[in-house]
Amino acid sequence: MGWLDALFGRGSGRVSRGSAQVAKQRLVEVLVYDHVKVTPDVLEAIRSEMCQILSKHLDIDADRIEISIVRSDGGDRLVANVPVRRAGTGRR
Amino acid sequence: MEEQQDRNGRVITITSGKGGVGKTTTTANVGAALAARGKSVVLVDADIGLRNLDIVLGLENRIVYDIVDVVEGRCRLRQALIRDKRLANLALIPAAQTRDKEAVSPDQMQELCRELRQQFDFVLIDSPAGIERGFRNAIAGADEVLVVTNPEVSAVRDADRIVGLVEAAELPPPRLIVNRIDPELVRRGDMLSVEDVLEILAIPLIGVVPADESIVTATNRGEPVALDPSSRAGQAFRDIAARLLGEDVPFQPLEAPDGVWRRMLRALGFGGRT
Repeated sequence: MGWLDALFGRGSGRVSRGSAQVAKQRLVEVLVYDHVKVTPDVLEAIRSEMCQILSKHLDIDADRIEISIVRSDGGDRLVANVPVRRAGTGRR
Repeated sequence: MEEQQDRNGRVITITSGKGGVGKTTTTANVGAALAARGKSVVLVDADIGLRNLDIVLGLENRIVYDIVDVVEGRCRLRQALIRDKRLANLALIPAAQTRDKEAVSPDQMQELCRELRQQFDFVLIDSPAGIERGFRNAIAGADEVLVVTNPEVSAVRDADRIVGLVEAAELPPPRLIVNRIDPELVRRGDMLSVEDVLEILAIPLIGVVPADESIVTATNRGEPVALDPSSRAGQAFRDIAARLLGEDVPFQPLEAPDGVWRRMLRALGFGGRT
C-alpha cells in the first residue's frame, strides 16, 4: 500500500529515520560543546582518568565507556555510561 | 522631503553569522514590503567591501556616494540616499566597495542610525556575515535584531552563536527567520523542520520563507519578490513586515502546494522527487 501512504502523506519520510534526525542530533551535540566549551580532547582526558580511578575498584570494560554531554530540560549534563564486568565472566 | 520632523523610527539589524543564508534578500524584501505598506524605510548595506544590497534592488547604476563617504563627511547624508525606482518611500545607503569593515566604527554607526531614525519609520541594516567588526558595527545602533538561518546544521549553529552575542550586547532576544525551507524535504524527513530549529535556538519566530524559484528570478532582474503578489516567498516577506508592524499574522501552512492531487501524481510515479 505504498502508494496509499504516499497519497496521504504518511510513511516514507517519517517512518524511516530521515537525515533530518541525524542533522538534529549532530546539531544538539555540537551546540553543547559550543556552550560548555569542552572539546573532544578534554572529554577524552576525562574519560581516561575516570577509567583509571574506576579500575582500582571495579572490573570495568574500558573500551566501552561512553562519555557525552547531553542537553536536557534541567541544563547540560555530563553523562557517563560505564559497563561493569560481572565476576567470573571475563569477556575479552 | 519633510524637513526635520523626528519620526523616531526603529533600527532593525538583519544578521545570521553564516554567509549565504539570505540576509541581503531578506533585508531588501522586508524593506520593500514595509515601504509598500506606506512606511518610510531606509536600507543600510553594512557589508563594507562586499556591496550587494544595491544589486538585489536593481539600484547598482545609481550609486554616487556610499556609507563610508557619509561617516567620513565627504557628503551629506541625503546625498548618499538612493531612492528606489518603484517605491518612493524606500531608500538605500550603499556599502563602500573599495574599503573594508575597519573603515567604520561602532560609534559612527550609532551616530548614523541616530540621524536616520529621525527621518525614517524603519532603518533596516544588512549585516555582513561573521561575528567580528562588521557584525559589531551592524548591531551598534540597533533596537532589535532579526536572525536569518537555513534549516541546516552549520547555519543553525552559527545562528546560535549570534543569538548569544546579541544577548551579550544587551539587546532584546532576536527574532528568527527560517529561510529556504523545502516543505517536500521536510515531509520526507530529510530537512530540519521549523519546529526543530525553534526547539534548538529557543527564540521567537517572525518568519518562514519557503525555497522558491521566484526569488531567483526576481533577484536576477533586481526586483524585490515581496512586490510579486503571486509569489509564496513574497507573501512570506510581506507577512514578516506585517508582524514587525505588530499584526498577528498566522504562519502560512508549508504543505500548501503539496495537495492531494500532487501527492497522487507522485504516488503514481509522475513528477516530484521520490
